[in-house]
Amino acid sequence: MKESLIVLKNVTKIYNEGQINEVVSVNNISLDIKKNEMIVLKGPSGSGKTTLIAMMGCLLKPTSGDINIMGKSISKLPEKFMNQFKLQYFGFIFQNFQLISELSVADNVELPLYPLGVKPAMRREMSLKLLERFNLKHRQDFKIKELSGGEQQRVAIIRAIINQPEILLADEPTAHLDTELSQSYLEYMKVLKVSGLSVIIASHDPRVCEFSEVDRVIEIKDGQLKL
Amino acid sequence: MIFHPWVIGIITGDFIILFLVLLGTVNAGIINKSWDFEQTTPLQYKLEKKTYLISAIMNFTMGVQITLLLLFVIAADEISAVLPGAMCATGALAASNYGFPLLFLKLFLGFLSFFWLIINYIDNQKENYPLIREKYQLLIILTPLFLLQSVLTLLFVSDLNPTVITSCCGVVFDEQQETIGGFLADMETAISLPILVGVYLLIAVKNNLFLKRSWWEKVPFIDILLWVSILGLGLATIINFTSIYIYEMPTHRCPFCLLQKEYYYLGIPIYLFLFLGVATGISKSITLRLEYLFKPGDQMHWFKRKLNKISLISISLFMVFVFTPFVLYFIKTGSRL
Amino acid sequence: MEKLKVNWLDKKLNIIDFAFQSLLRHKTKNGLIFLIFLVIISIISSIFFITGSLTKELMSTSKSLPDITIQKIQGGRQVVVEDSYLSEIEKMPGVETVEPRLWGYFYFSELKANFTIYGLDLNDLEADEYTKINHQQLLSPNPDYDMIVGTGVYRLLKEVFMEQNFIFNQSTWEQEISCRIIGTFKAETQLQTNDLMIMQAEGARKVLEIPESAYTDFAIYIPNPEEVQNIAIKINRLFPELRTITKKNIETTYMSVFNWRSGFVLSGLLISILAFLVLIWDKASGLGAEEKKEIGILKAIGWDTDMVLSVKLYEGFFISSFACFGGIIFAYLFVYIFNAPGLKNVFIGWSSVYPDFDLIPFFDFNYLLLIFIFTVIPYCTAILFPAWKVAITDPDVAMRNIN
Repeated sequence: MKESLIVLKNVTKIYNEGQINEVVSVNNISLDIKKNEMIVLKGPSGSGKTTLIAMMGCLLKPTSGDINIMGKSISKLPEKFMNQFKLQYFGFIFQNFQLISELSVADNVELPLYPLGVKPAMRREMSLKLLERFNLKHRQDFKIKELSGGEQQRVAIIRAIINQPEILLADEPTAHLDTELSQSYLEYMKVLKVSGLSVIIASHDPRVCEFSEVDRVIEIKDGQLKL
Repeated sequence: MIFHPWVIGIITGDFIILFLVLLGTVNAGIINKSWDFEQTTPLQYKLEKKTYLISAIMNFTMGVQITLLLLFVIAADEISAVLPGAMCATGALAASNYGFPLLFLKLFLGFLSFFWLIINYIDNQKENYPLIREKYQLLIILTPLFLLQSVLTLLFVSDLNPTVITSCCGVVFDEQQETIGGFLADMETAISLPILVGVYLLIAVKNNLFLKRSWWEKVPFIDILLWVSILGLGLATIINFTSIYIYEMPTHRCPFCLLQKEYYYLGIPIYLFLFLGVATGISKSITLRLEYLFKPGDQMHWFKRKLNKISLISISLFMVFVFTPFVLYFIKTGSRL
Repeated sequence: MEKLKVNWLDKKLNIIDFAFQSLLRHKTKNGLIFLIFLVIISIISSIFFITGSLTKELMSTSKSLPDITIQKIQGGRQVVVEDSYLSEIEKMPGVETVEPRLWGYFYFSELKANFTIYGLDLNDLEADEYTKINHQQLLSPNPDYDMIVGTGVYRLLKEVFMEQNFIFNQSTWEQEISCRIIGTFKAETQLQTNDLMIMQAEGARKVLEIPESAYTDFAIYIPNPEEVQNIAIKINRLFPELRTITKKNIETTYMSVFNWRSGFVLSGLLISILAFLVLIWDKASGLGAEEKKEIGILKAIGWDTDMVLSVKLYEGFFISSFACFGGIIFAYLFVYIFNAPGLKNVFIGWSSVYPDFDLIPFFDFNYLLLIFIFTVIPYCTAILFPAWKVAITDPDVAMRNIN
């Protein structure tokens, strides 16, 4: 019986509560995600999966309900403590990668290490090690805008894992990628899962849902779990 | 008089501080009105964000307050050049009834801001911000004092008149006078010095051996009282003992002249160590009282120990500086003043 | 689950590192702010340098000033002092010497210049105190009307071809007075001598229209500075028609004027700084989409509000501090290498008699602090609130930002 990693209990997220443009993005969802699982949150755009994965990744606070990560309730934690948590255990890969275009590859990748108080020499060492592993060491000083889609994808992955997280969250990772890049992406995810990480991917891409390493596909529609 | 650049400087500084504190207080009031940690509403998140603003404001304000304290003393010194009878900052301060009270208020506010920041820091270490209401109430209470500071500065400045003769430090700290200055100068060092050393030893022993709350700490506020005493005694000793050995003149008892270049800026480490020692010492006492919020072995204990160490080292260095000029003089001349 | 142990100092250094890099990345935007601030600070610093130099000059000049200057007042105006007062004053205890002085001003309309005339016995001057001028005629037509002028005056007179003989004339005079210039002198401080003409006493009396046995004023020298005030009061009591001016009076008055003038210009500048800061506040509040995205990304990957706020504040601190130092250096060059054209005249007036006036270099660390208070601290105050507004950007902004 695997250990529980993330437990959601009756989690709801309402935007613009009480106003005309009120939107219930996530409606009373309860989930139990185990350690070292690869989970896909499947659902069309607007289904609430992005909001859900943001809440799991300490990027957003729920309107109600409880989110428990490794035994600790985080829903009411002030931002400072939530961030400490985030930095220690999470890595996030965004849709469109969200890299800072004027910074170099190495600088982008090192950003999560700044708040951890990692010294510059150590930062460089850690980033170069990973860049080499992903075959990007020769591009370390290139600006992001000079890289290809596939290279940017790898940079995004490296940035997400440089702080040695235990949980990797990815939001629509294959949205703008072709088959080949999508496949290589999933291979990376497999490698990471094998090395001990738990991987949660929000996607409606069938290639992702049907990937062999996926332990569970959780379907979400209109903010609720589709059972 | 009002157009003297240094005068404009101290007025500008005071109003910047007032502006910042008002900004902080207004937000503190907003937070206190609706803060509810259990809530997960957008309002609560907004309030949480405001807490960062207030922390940043108060950190910055304290830095400016301390800078302004130094600026005020330098300004008094520079302005003294255009006041007849004044030869250093003492003369400028004595030229107005508000001079010395303003100086003490600035010092007092410097200490209070420091303590507020310590409380703020402690509160921020706990996930549920247990002291948030109290600390913002404290901030709101402090605000009128900052307003008073600005008012006193304006009153002080408008009193300065280049045609009116003021006294110099030789007069203000003349033991014959029946003023506070005279009293300080006249204090019998045979009595005050042993008391100073006694209080220092009490603090040193107490804080080294009894970090936990022991029986004599049950006497309310005894530790804070000790620190405040050493502050008062320290200042008095600087005036009636240390300064005369720095200037090597038995009648020159100015507490400001020793900040000047000709006395090797000795005043700076002396005052720095005294104020730092007292500020961190009292902060440690505050931390001790707030210890109930934390579990044993928590980060706060490291913080408390750090404060303790800084306070003891600072005050010890202060004691060294207090006596060294005398020792050097004695070695040089074989006599006392 | 243990808490993350982050070294506070290392984190702070990282923040400073990032802030610095961030500044360099946005060179154009920051460059403009930097330049405007630099110019404002240069002007403020220049004012302080000029005031400081003039004060320093004043202090070195005032050393040779008499301890008390006695003038006679009649009908609220200064008139000549009779030498009958001399013996009474000389007798007073504490008074070392009383020197009767003969001097005044002469306005030369052709050059629109005001000259200071000082009368003494030229034979008393040492040979090396002045440079002799060679004349075609060896003998002076009338030694009573010989004079020695300052180099600045000499240069001016050359322009009107009067460097050999100067002709004094007033519309009220029956006859003009011709004086032969027998030499020039150069003193340490140019402020003192640039408009000075030293004449033989008799000639000076004629030019200044001062009768025999009267003088312009008396200079009293008192060795013990503590007694100056008392003696001045005594003289006032004995001779109410005499005005006593002590050395300290003069110093204080000049310093007040310098300070008043510099304070006045400073106040004007402060208003412009305020306007500048209001602009900055406004500008910093409205973030560009690019910058907002960047902050969103930082927040999303784990930077907290405090850290982003610190970065922004350090950015502001660096810009303003560098502008501060740059401004001070620039001002130093402006004032002491280029001699502060234009600005200097605000303090010393516009007079053609002061052509090449060099200021003595002055620097005091106290003024560094003062400039700091007027520049860096207000700047950081102005950006605090906007920086906070930026720093509280929600992390999920990064998620929704789909370009």
